Amino acid sequence: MNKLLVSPSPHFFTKTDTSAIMFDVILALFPALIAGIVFFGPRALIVTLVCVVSCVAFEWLVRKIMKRSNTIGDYSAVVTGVLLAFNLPPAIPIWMAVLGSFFAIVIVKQLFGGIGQNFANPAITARIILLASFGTQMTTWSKPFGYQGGVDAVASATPLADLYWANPWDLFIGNVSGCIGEVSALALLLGGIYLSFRKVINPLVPLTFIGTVFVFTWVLGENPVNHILAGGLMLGAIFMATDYATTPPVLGGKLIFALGCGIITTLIRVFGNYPEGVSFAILLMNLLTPLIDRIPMVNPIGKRKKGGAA
Amino acid sequence: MNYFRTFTKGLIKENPVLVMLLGTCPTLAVTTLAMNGLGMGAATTFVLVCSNVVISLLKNFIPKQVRLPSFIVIIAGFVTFVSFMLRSNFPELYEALGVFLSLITVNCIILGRAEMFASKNNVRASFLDGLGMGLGFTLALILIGAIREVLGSGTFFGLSIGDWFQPIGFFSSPAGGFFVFGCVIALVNVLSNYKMSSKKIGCASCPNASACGQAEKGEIAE
Amino acid sequence: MYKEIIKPTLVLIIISVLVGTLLAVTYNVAGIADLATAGLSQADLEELKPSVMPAASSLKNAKVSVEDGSLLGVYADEGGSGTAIHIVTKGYGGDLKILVGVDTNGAVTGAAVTESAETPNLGSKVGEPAFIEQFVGKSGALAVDKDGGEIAAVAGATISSRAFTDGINKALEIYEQVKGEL
Repeated sequence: MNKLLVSPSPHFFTKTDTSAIMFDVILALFPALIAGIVFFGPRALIVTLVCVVSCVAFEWLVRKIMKRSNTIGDYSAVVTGVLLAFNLPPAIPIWMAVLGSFFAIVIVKQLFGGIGQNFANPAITARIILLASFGTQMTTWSKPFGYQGGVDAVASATPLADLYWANPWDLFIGNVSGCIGEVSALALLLGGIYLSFRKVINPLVPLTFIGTVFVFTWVLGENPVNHILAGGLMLGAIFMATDYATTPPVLGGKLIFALGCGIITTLIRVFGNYPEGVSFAILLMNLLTPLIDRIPMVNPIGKRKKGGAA
Repeated sequence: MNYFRTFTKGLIKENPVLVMLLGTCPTLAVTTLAMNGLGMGAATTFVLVCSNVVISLLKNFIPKQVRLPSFIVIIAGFVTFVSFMLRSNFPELYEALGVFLSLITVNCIILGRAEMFASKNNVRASFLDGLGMGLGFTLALILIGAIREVLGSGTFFGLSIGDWFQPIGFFSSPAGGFFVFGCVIALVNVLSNYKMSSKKIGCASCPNASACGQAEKGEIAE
Repeated sequence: MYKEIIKPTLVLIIISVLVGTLLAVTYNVAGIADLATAGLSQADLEELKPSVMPAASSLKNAKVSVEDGSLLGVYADEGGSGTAIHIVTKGYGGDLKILVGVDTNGAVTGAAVTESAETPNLGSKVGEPAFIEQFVGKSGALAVDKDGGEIAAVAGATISSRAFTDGINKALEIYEQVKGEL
């Protein structure tokens, strides 16, 4: 080594690419999937598989039709499929899950340019479209372990309908009615800790989101512990409010995003017409992200200080 | 003047809703059902044809200082007439169109055609222009209305398309309206083989260029 | 002076007067004034009768002296089985208009939504028999379960359910005021 090697930046190389990050996310989603299967039976697995397969198939098909390079190898469609399935009730008709995958991948993601270009979270948007379209099927919940008695789809109220007196331990482990992947706070937290440890997500984002909901529901005289354990809050805060494409890139922006999500979620839950507000909150803040990005939060190198020299 | 082209340009090439993007408010608001689209389109076409003819007749009588107020008074008169007629003869359609019936008065298409076409052309051309533009508006509304009605309510002009179909409520909502509107515009762009080339950007490519009279002065962006 | 100010003014006045006169004539010829105050038509009432007041023979518009912003009309049964009260209340999506049937004891016989802007598939479910049946035979002040009452709100549509319940209460209240006049 007698020569000094000079090359243009960047000088660091890591193996981190989209598929590696997505693989980590898929791993982190596994505990929640297992919890879903334990509480809601094979039906939960079937819905998840249908969503994953149809998301990947739609992604492949659309890229083919649009004559663009294929991106199914980056696993992002798999993540979208799993997240969408996690936001659906276990007893949802299969064709609705396929339709939701179509909305998520074709409309929300690919029509706007594919991975990294979509302005809203595909899974969240697809869930909202399904909720607005099929109110009955999207709010028909199965009782946990109901599948063991041979009854697959019993209409049963989600704990959000009567949150104050729900049992916090049941909410924590997931022994309640709800969407496939949202019921077990414990399983979702495991995934969140893994992602934070792998530096895929910044733990401050979900903590701000969940903390905001805790504080505001407490101020409004609700039961804050049950509020943060119930519904889609953990799922949304850990896996969706941390999406790279649809949330602000810098930390300050991320925290504003998470704060806004928490406030909107609380307002919808406490005063709104729908029992759950996490998905609406994330979608609304997705739409505000370009505006948050305009707030200057990073000082450019060489910026003049007020009154100082360059 | 080519009278046939005066009539047909409003259907696709200069379609007021899908190409010029005028009158989008009623387009999005009333098209939850194909029938509403037809009713709104027919009412607007009637007002457009009548106001175009009257304004063309009066173009030498109206001084330019009070041109716009006079046009609006004439248009509002026809709109009120239409709403009286609907109210006494088609009360259900009158209810369905609601406030958007009165808002035909401020529909940009009508004042736009009055200002850009009828006040500069003879009665026959103005009549054909109004009819063509009105039909183009009506066709666009029926198309959007039909798509939204079939997908959102499972019916077509009020007839059920069968129990096997589960209506997708999203398409009846305002968000679904925007969505279908965007898809139809994309479809029209594909059909009219619209390509963004450097020659076409600028005033000369605007669908209003022929009536605007400013196109020659406009700069062509490179 | 004439060309710049007086002539344009005169032309605008002439056009406005002409348009106004023609519209006034149309208004009278088409009989719009009569349509404005008619309320529910006889055909509408026939259609709504089975769900609002199955026992009624024929509902007829009744004039009452009560002035109330939310009262749209009162229709009395010619057979004397009760009164239908048309009420407007504030729903989730806008005005929610309900025709409420009340029997001679002041209890609800049925109800029907005549106009609503509630969310399709959610709030709109307050118009369905499953929800409305809860009110039949009830009287006094009613409330949804979330407010400690006995009416089970439509899942995910508390505001619409609350609005509907408020409408029923208002109708019962108005019935108490007008029953002496019928």
